Amino acid sequence: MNNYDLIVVGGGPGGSAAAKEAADAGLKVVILERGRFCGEKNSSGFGLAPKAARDFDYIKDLDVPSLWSTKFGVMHIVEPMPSNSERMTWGLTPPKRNSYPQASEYLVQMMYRPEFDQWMADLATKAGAELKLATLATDVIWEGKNVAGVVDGKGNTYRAPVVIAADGAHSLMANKAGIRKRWDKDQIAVLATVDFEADPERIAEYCGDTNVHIFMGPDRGGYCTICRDGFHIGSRPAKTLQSEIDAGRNLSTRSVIDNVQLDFIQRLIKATRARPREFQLHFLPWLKTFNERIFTGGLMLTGDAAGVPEPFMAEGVWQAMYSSRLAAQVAVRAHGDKDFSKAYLKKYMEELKVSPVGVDFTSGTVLRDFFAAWTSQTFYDLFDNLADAMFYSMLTFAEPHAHGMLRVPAIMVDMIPQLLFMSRYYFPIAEEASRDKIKGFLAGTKMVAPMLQNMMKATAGGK
Amino acid sequence: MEKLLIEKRELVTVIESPVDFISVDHEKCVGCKNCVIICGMNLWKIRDGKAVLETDYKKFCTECASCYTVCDYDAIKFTFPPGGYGIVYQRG
Ligand SMILES: Cc1cc2nc3c(=O)[nH]c(=O)nc-3n(C[C@H](O)[C@H](O)[C@H](O)COP(=O)(O)OP(=O)(O)OC[C@H]3O[C@@H](n4cnc5c(N)ncnc54)[C@H](O)[C@@H]3O)c2cc1C
Ligand code: SF4
Ligand code: SF4
Repeated sequence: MNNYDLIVVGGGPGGSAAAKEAADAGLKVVILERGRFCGEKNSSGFGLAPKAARDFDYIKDLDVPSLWSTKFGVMHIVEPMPSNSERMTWGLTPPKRNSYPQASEYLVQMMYRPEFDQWMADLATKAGAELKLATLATDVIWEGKNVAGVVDGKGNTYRAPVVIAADGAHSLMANKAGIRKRWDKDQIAVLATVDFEADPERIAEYCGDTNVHIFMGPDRGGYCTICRDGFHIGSRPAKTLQSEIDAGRNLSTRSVIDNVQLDFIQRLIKATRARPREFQLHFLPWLKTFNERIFTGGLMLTGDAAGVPEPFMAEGVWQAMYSSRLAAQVAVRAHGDKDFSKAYLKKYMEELKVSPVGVDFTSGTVLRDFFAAWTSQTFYDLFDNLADAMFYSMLTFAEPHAHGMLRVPAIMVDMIPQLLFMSRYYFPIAEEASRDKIKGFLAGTKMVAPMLQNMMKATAGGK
Repeated sequence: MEKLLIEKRELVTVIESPVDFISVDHEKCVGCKNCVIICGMNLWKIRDGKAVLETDYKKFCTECASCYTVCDYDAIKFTFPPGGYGIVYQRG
């Protein structure tokens, strides 16, 4: 019999953050991880948010071979299919004015998940946690109304008065503990990624300091994240299993294969002598609202198992670490108070809901719909007109520059439908974020917008 | 430019599970095709109106759990392969 103070199921970033927190506080902790190494089952091609370094002291010492902080990224607006060429690109850099230093230093820290996940697990074991690899937790042990341990696939039992289930998006523990049988189809996405192997010298030469590319276009979207010896091509998000079923095809897999044909990617492949190395398919919870069903007697769900990736971009590693650390703190308190009941562990859910992780869900569906619209024709038209408006007069060889300038107001008028479309999503989000500041301004715009819309109906027509 | 094809099945590394970890109950299956649509590795087919899993699915399945999640008739049983088996992502 293996007795512990806390069992952590899953050795991802969530599980290790929980285990380190609890072990540092003196609990006897075990992590069960089904992979032969941490990260073996996880794909993201992954960018760690700067807020991880702000909120977790130890992230400041993060050092793994593939780590590459993103100081420059590029956004590509790609032309409608079947053309794969780019209409407009512009650089992304971290804004200089920010509330904490890391956010001004880099956009994200890119690295491979096996390296990061093992680095995190090492922190947990150095703090005293035990790590059992190649160990699949298959069931929970009940004592009355509380979960009081887990069983692994070989029939070994592990007992503890509290379990943190950080077992990822498809959580067997949530199922066995009676919290959730499966996600609803519109709560979850399956994302495809292709990893390419490439010549590191050529990558350094061709890519310079730029290691993140984002692609948007009508019915197109995705990303390319570049590591020192290869790169990942990702599919567009904004599709849940429900939308894939509605469409009758696996859009994510289709999209990643289409993205390989993008002009930029084809050039990158040629220039860096790249070859496809790994194909990956992974779940990603993508909830519109905060999920409250994340606890029962003796068990708390954290990270992807709890469905905490934020509702807009579905960023999830910092969220997994944050929720898991909080759950560990509640577990430590539960030990102090000798109370592991469902009523006691509810505190974890309540505290998470008002934390930055929970607050991100307050803009809910508006954010999601906006993001889904990113790959629409309207969104493309916005950039299409914008590029003309910004550069035509300056760069034209077609006519005198002054004449070119005169065309700009006409182009701007053409943009009104797209600007209205933007405002439909942007204002409610901004309103939520800084209600008082812009309320007056919005009141004015809201009056004007319908009038403009009516005018547009009358003058509809492209440029 | 010459088209580069992504051969998905050649690009997955799997330590084949010694036991089955997905099964389908033909009593419950109505042949709705949801599992066929969603599987990014194309491991499901409909035969005589019922879903069937390719016999060597254990060599290619990425354990994404999509098939289990989209089956509205609770016909698919899914668990993970035993610890240490299944999909290997070196560059996730
Ligand atoms: C393609 C893609 C790209 C992404 N990009 C980003 C990004 O750039 N930035 C970002 O912040 N987030 C990103 N995410 C989201 C992020 O990957 C997840 O939110 C994050 O990994 C969640 O961490 P976790 O610890 O909760 O779960 P996981 O990382 O999934 O870890 C769960 C662990 O539990 C183990 N496990 C599961 N079941 C059992 C069991 N029964 N017994 C024992 N062990 C078990 C698994 O092997 C795994 O190691 C991306 C996701 C995908 C799919
Ligand atoms: S999703 Fe379920 S019911 Fe539909 S075909 Fe597949 S197994 Fe049968
Ligand atoms: S788990 Fe994923 S890859 Fe495996 S059969 Fe089901 S849908 Fe296909």
